[in-house]
Parts: sequence; C-alpha cells; structure tokens
Amino acid sequence: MTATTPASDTPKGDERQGSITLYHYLRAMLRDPVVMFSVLFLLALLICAVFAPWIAPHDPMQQNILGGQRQPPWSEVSVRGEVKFFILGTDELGRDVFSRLIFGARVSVAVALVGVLVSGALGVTLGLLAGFHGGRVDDLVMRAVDGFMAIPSLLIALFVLFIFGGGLVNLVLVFALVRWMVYARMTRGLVMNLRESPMIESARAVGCTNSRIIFRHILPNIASPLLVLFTLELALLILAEAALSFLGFGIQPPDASWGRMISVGRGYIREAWWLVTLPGLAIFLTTLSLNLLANWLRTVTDPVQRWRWLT
Amino acid sequence: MFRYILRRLLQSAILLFIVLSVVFVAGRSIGDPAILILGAEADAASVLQLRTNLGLEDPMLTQYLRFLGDALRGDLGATYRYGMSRGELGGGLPEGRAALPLVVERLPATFYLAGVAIAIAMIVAIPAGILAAMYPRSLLDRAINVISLAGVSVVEFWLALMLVLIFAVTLGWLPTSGYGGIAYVILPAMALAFRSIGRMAQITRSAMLDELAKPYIITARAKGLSPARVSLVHALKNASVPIVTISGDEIATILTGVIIIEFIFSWPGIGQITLDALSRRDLPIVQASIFVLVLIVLIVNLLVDLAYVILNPRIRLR
Repeated sequence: MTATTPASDTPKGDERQGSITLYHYLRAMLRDPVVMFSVLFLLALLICAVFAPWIAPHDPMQQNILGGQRQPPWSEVSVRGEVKFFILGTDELGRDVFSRLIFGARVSVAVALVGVLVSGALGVTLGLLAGFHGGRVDDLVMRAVDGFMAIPSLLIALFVLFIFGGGLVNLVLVFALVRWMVYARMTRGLVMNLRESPMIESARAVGCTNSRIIFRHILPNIASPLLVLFTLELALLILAEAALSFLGFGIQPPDASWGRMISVGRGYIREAWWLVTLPGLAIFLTTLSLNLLANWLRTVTDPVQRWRWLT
Repeated sequence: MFRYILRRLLQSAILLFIVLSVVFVAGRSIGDPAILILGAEADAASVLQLRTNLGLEDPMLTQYLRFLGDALRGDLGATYRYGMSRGELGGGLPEGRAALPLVVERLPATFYLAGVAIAIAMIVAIPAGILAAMYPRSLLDRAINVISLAGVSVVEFWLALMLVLIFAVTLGWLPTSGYGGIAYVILPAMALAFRSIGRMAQITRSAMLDELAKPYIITARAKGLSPARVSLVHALKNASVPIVTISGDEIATILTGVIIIEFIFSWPGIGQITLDALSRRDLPIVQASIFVLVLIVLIVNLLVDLAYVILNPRIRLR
C-alpha cells in the first residue's frame, strides 16, 4: 500500500477538519487484511449469486447416477463418452456439488438480503415513529416489541411456515415478522437520544417540518449503528434460512439452498462427508465474513474511534 | 418487589393468552381436523359425525371460548394421530391421548440435554472469561475472541453434524444418535453449548475488565491481597450481574436451540415431538408444545430478572 498520497502528507490538524470520504474507508480496509479478505469473499459470493448460470461449470440439476458420490477434490467422471471434471465432487445423484453451491448462494443471499431490507424497513419505520412521537404510539410499539422479544423467533417462524408453507416469499415475510423488533428497539433508542439534542431543537426553531427533521437530521445521524445492525442481521438471516430449510420448512425442492443440501447430505454422512461439510463451510465463511465486516464497520464509523483508523 | 412480580406474572399471562388466540385462529386455516384425522378418503357422513363430536359445527365464537376454557384447565385437545393406529379410529370420537401430557412427559429428556449443555457452557466460559480478564492479550484472551466469533458464525446443526462426522462416524468413540447416558449426551450438549461458550466468555471478560479498572480494586491490591483474591472475591461479586444476565439469555437460547439438535440426534424431547407434530400436521400437539415452550421461556426470563435484583440491591424495581 502506498501511503504517500497527498492526503496523508497534510498535517494532522488539517485532516481532522477535512471530511471523510470513501477513499479513507477503502484505505483503512486495505490496511486490515482480515477485513479485506472478508469483503473480497462477500463480493465473490455476490457475483456468484447474481451470475450463477454463467459461473457454474455444470448444470446444478444435471443428474448422472453412475457418477454419483465422487469424492473431491478433482474427480473425473465420463458422461456419455466425454470426461468431465468436478472440482468439489458430486452428490448422491451425480450432480455437481460446486455448481449447486453456487446456485445455493443465489437463494441464501437473496432471501437474507431481501429479508433484512423488509424487516429493517418495517422496524426502522416503527422505531422512528415510536421514538419521535413518543406517547401512545411509543407505548404500543414497545409493547409489541417486548411481546415478540419474549417468544423465541424460531418457534414463531416454524409455526408461521407450518401454516402458510415454505418458499422464498414466505421466508422473507417470516423474517420480517420475527426480526422487525430488533431494528425498532435500536432505532427508538437512538432517536430518543437525539430528539432532545440542541441540533434537533434548532432545526425545529428554524421551522423544519417533522418529515424534514426525520429524513434530513435524524436518519443520517443514526445511519452507521443501523448499518452495523443490518450487517449482523444479514449473517443471522443466512443462518436462520439454513436452519429452516434444513428442517424442511424453508426453501422447497428442487431449489438448491445450502440448508437443504446439508439436510439431504445428512443421509449420506457415512459414505460422503463432503455433502454435509461443504455447504456448511460455505455458510460458515459467509457469516464469519459478515460478522468480521460488522465489527470493522462498528469501529470505523464510531465518531470517537474512527480518526485512529481512517487517518 | 411483590408488586413487580405480580405485574410480570400478569404480563406473561396476557402474552400467553395472545399466543393461544393466534394459534387458535391460525390453526383453523390449515384444513379440516376431521379430514386430517380420518384421512382424505373418508365418507362425508363420518366426517360430519366427527365434526359434530369435535364441536367443529358450532359457531366460531363458541369454539374459541371453549378452546380458551379448556386451555385454562390445561386441556389443549387430543392428538390427531400420535400413538394411534388408523384401525382404532372407527367412526366415533377418536381415542387420541390428551396433547399436553404427551408434550410434558418429553420435558425431562429436554431438561437433561439442556441442563448438561448449560453446565458445560458455564463451567468452560466463566472461568475462561475471568482468566482472560486477569491476563489481557494472553493466548487465552485471543482464543476467546476467535471462539466467540466462530460461535456466532456457525450453524448449530452443521456443527452437530461435524461432531457426529468426527467423533461418531470417523473415530467411533461416541454413538451417532439416540437417548441414554453420558455417551449419548456429550455430542448434542457440545453442539448446543458452543455458541453460548463464546458469548458468555466474552461478556464475563468485559464485565471483569470493567470491575478490575475501578478504584476499589487498587485499594484491595494496595492492602496486599493476592491477585487471585482480588479478582475472584472482590471483582467477581460485582461483575456477577451481567454474567447472570447473559447466562439467563443463553438458557433461553439453548432451550430453543434444543429443537433442532434433538431432531438431529433423535433425542426424545420436546423439540422432537414439536417438529414431528409440525410435519404430521397434528395441531393439538403443536399447540401444546408452543404453549409449553413459551411458558418455559417466560419463566426463565422472570427468574433472570429476579436474580438481577437479588444480586444488585441498587436496582430498584418499580
């Protein structure tokens, strides 16, 4: 990393007054190899999820019973005369594990991302309303938050999926139902701290409308803790999707999801260890990267600590 | 204090009432129980007969009030098919067993597994957290960070399967699944405890570090007390409030994590019967197990809050 850029040549006092740009974050990231690898892994995963049909070396649904359960790494199977390579082996029906992992990433990432966006939008909105208006709205929202907090999320999720059935859309709705209160509680706390601050008071004094205060003055100031929460929740939803699909209540066949791959591979744990191990490893690396990224975001967006990391 | 407990009990009762109502309303939408019991090929006459016997022909409000009244007496309906063969059903009222006792008799197995898991978590995590706080930046301190990070990143059921793969399938030291003595409980309990170990150790460590930085610790050291006595007697007592809180949280987490772990290890507990009933669409058992699990979590939460007050008299509850 070349640190001799014009920005780092300026004296420290000047830098404190300069604004922090994306450049500072990128530079801080390059200095921290663990975070950099996490981000690279997540980017690669995102690319795999979006461009799965072009990246996957084989058709994830293509069965070949004769070439089933080939052990990775690098197994060769001749399919109708032509020899094919399977980097991560084949599953019980001879399907390519690597391609299925890539298509599984598509499902897991999509469900978790949309799930976080929907539950986050719901929770942040309710939290803003409760924190900003207080009074009866606040009472009502917080009662609901306490109620949902008291009941295990997994139990609610299982019951709702039992009633309405699994599938992508229902999973996203269930995640919104069982996770909104995490955002609501945090947003409310942050807003209540800000509401009485001189900054908001002066905004009100110059005649800002409520919506202007909320969108221009409050939201930007609570964005970074919320960003950290979003990242952590993304990891949590990937785990939750895997667990629900593993139990047969989430993604339904023939879609490949990591949780379902483990659930099917479980039946072959004695003969084919990779069918259980590899999808789990994919989940682990994804959530680990997300958690590492969240920790890093927490330190670099902290107004007290960030100068140390960014300059 | 007494009023606080009273209020908490009332809140819990209201929550249970809401949960039961939601379960009642949602439960009506999964299909006709008479057909679920008799099978899709049953003739219309016996379905109507059974519907009348079950009270399903009554107005919805009557059914709802009867459901709540029965629930109040601890009757959450009879299982549709648990432990019954099709032949026993005949045309009349099915002789299915009451759902609540069926679920409650699974509790000892669940408490056994959860108890061992919690014990493992506390025995490993709390001393590790204390030692890490006494020796910051030591190897142990770093290990705790890595373990807790891995703990929140790993899927419990995958960890369980990896443990099975290593210790049961490959090494053959322990049985892959089943119910029984120490050999059977080790793998499921370890899978359940892993995540809690990381989190509890981290909370213990930071609570201890907070206390060790306070002036009374300097006084204690200045008096010439040994480092062990300062940490274990003086600091630990004051650090115990967050430790108890996280332990309570982890007990609630473990009690829900038990659902999926019991499924993997064929452990005959409440989680297994819940999942079984969900996949067989046996609504009374589902209702009963949701009721029991929610009740247990509410009780644990209440006990944790009470422990909080007892350990820290400065917390005055309204």
